[in-house]
Amino acid sequence: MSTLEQLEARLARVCGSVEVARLRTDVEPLPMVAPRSVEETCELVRLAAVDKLRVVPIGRGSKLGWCSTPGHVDFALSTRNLQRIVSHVPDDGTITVEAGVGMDELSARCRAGGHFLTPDVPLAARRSIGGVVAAGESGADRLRFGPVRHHVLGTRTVLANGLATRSGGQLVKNVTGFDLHRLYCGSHGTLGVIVEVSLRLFPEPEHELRVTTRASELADALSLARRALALPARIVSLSIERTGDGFELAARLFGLRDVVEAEQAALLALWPRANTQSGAAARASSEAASARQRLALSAHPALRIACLPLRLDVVAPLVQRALADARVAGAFSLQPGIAELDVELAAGLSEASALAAFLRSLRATLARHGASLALRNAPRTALVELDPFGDPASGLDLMRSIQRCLDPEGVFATGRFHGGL
Amino acid sequence: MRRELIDELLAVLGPAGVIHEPARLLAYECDGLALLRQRPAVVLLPRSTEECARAMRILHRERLPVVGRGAGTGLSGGATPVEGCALVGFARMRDVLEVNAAERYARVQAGVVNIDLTLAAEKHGLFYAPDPSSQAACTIGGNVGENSGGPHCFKHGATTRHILGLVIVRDDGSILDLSLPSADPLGYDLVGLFVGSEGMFGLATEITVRLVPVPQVTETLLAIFTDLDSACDAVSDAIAARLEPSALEILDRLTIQAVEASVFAAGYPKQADAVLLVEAEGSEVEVEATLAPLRAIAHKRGAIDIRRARSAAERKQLWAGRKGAFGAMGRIAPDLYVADVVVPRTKLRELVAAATRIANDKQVKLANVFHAGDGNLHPNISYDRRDADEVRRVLEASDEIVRCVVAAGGSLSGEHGIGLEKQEFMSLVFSDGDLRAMCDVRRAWDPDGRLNPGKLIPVHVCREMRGTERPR
Ligand SMILES: Cc1cc2nc3c(=O)[nH]c(=O)nc-3n(C[C@H](O)[C@H](O)[C@H](O)COP(=O)(O)OP(=O)(O)OC[C@H]3O[C@@H](n4cnc5c(N)ncnc54)[C@H](O)[C@@H]3O)c2cc1C
Ligand SMILES: Cc1cc2nc3c(=O)[nH]c(=O)nc-3n(C[C@H](O)[C@H](O)[C@H](O)COP(=O)(O)OP(=O)(O)OC[C@H]3O[C@@H](n4cnc5c(N)ncnc54)[C@H](O)[C@@H]3O)c2cc1C
Repeated sequence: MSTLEQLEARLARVCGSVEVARLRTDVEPLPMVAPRSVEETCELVRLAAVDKLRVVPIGRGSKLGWCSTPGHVDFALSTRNLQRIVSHVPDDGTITVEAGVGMDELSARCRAGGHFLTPDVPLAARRSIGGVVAAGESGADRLRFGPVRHHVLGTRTVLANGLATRSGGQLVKNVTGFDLHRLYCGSHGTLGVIVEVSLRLFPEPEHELRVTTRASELADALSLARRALALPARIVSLSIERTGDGFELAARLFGLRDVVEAEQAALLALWPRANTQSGAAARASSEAASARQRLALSAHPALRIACLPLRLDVVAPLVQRALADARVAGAFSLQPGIAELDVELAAGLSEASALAAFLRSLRATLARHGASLALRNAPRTALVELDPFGDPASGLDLMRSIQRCLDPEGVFATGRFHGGL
Repeated sequence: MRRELIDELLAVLGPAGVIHEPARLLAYECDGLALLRQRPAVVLLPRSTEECARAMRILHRERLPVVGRGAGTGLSGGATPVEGCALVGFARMRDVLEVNAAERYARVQAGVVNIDLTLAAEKHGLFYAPDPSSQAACTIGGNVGENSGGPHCFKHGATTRHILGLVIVRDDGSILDLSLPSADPLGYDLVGLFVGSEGMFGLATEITVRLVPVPQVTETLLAIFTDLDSACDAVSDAIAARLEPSALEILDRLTIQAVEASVFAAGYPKQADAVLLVEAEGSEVEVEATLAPLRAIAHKRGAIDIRRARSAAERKQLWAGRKGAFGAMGRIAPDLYVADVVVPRTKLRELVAAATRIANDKQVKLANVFHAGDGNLHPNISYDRRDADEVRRVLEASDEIVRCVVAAGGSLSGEHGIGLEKQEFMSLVFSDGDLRAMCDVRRAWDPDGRLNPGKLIPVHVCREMRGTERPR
């Protein structure tokens, strides 16, 4: 038997079967195991620790390309078979589930209990809650609810020593112990495998509307957006997307019927020739029509640019110009309330070195406005020249030392994240 | 403390920045948990991040334990000195450095008092949401240390949701600048991890906080009940009905009487067994749409009267009573043991009743005033610390209350932290493996375990931490 076959046989003894995973189209396939319980997860991590194997935790594997390709990895550990709803207490507004539960199933479950689940991510069926939390991915609804890390009440995480450890809890308010769950949120599986997540839930809206309008220039769209954001309304999300002949603005409103209708009236007074959709139609088109969804599906390289909210009014036109100068085409979508700009590089800049040069120069310009730029789905060749996450953050030494303290032997694959974490 | 060392510190901090005379050190022996006392070796009061860092470098060289202190209003012994420590206080770092109204954030020094930040923001039509009842005294640094809450955290969330950035002085005196405001952390979320670390990861010297717009309309209601159970049920119903007011607070009979007899008298009816203080904010439509069903719930649960504050002054008075409640308890007995636990909001009535039963068994005086909307109970016990037997019964009662709450799915603390008070209870909710992971992360921040040693983690788990002598 080859070493690989031996490894597969040992993994299969723990969890039944071994599949093959391709983390990215441009790297070698890997053995992948999907433990059926937390205990099996612990056992697999212990096996890796003893045999000095390197593991990469994955969820449903929908967006691994958005993180750097790890260096050497022996096997991937997927949470897709961790599917239990551990506890759901609708009247306390909390739910605890295993990490492999899909976002679609989870939000349906919450809706049945009268709650809304944030983050509301596109393509929910393809994502696991563990993957969303591990990627620290917030939805566009962050404008109203804040980032996902604020709603994670606690986690259970299998660490490099093979122990399933808890942090936080299941209650909406709790300061017992250090908030290690805040550390695991957004750590991209570099510190451990998240196996369980507890979340705070929000009331399911009684009424939902989507109000849209158009502007021919980006500057006009931004100014319409700013006026909407200045309303005393709790807008759920607000986006500007480039279309064939200009820009479309869309605001999502939801909550108590009277409140939503009052907010709609205020918005219609500001936005010329606006259209409104309501109920299920509003929900469906908020999702389906969004460039965020197209971006989530796209395999092209993409940029996520983030800054302080008002700076976006300067940063977005600047990026638009740079893209035009470089003759780059693709989706262009911004969230003015939360100052995120997503750009797809669908055509143009096909040479890795041209891409790297473009990004270096754009990054330098953006830095002057306090904006950051991350590259997703980066071609492997471009990664040689450039860190997809940009300059290492301050505190990088401390982050490395946290990594060493939790995983001294390097069981979990690193080199995937800011500054090579 | 050695004279040369004091001189060296004096050279960095100046005469107002170093307190070493035994008589003056007395004032720093304890925080709000007055049962535990220990005199520090020296108290240092830097004026800036730079001064703090220079002092910390000296303390690092000398391998002295360090305890951070804001206003010392903490209730779990977080700022209780440990033997031979340098207590680093932030009383001279009180500047609001920047209010950026357009981007809605402020930068402050760690010693800024919570209410002063709110006043600075108010001028711009904004406010800082976390509002501990101690807000007239406690500091933003202390709020960060404990991840403090307050009545309005029901809607807005506790401190951690409002901290955008920090400047931290590390154990070795190096400065970690995490103040660059960005929507998501670059790399691991060190800021989120730091909040609530009870002074054991580093000292925050500058803090960037999120500000929120002052709501268009704010309405405050006082629902009056003839029994505490019904008030609890009304809150459980409101949560189950998915209502979102901004605050839901309950005060029981003993608390009402203490408040009404004090300078904080708020006009709560003295004969009531409980009052429920409700606030809603937002647009006029939103406030009405929230309060109408709440009124109906209160009536259904037997409220005998629902009063509405008709002016800002009346609203302020209703809140002054709530916020002054702990202070007012001083009228009942010289000392107050403020307990802090969280329960699932479906079990409010059951666990408030259990606390009452335990207090009766132990023959101690229990008064409840709590953040009901978050399930955050404060079963407070009045006592006289000169009465050793009473002290024993108080501790037994609070011990039993904590165990009973944990058994029902509750947690050890909602906002006051673990400190020395609840350290040994940690094993009720966390396994040794959980706690070891916490120690591991702490080791990355503070390899020698010199920062606030001997707190939070039960002694048997973190033997590697040095200087763990527990003050007697
Ligand atoms: C930097 C970055 C930013 C992103 N931003 C957005 C965004 O703004 N909008 C959007 O629509 N999508 C975004 N994504 C995609 C996001 O990753 C996916 O929505 C979500 O993570 C997919 O879930 P999944 O189950 O497929 O996870 P996967 O794609 O399998 O994994 C995602 C990441 O989390 C790790 N991981 C997964 N599960 C676990 C676990 N249980 N324990 C520990 N680590 C785990 C993986 O190693 C990987 O790094 C982003 C991804 C990255 C890397
Ligand atoms: C009457 C009264 C009412 C209260 N009401 C509430 C309430 O409603 N909600 C609530 O949450 N709490 C409440 N508290 C508790 C207390 O006020 C809070 O915990 C407060 O945040 C403590 O702030 P402080 O400045 O007094 O900090 P301290 O008590 O001095 O310190 C608290 C902890 O933080 C650490 N620390 C202090 N400054 C720093 C710093 N700059 N960097 C790092 N660590 C630091 C200390 O080491 C200690 O562990 C109340 C207390 C009293 C006496």
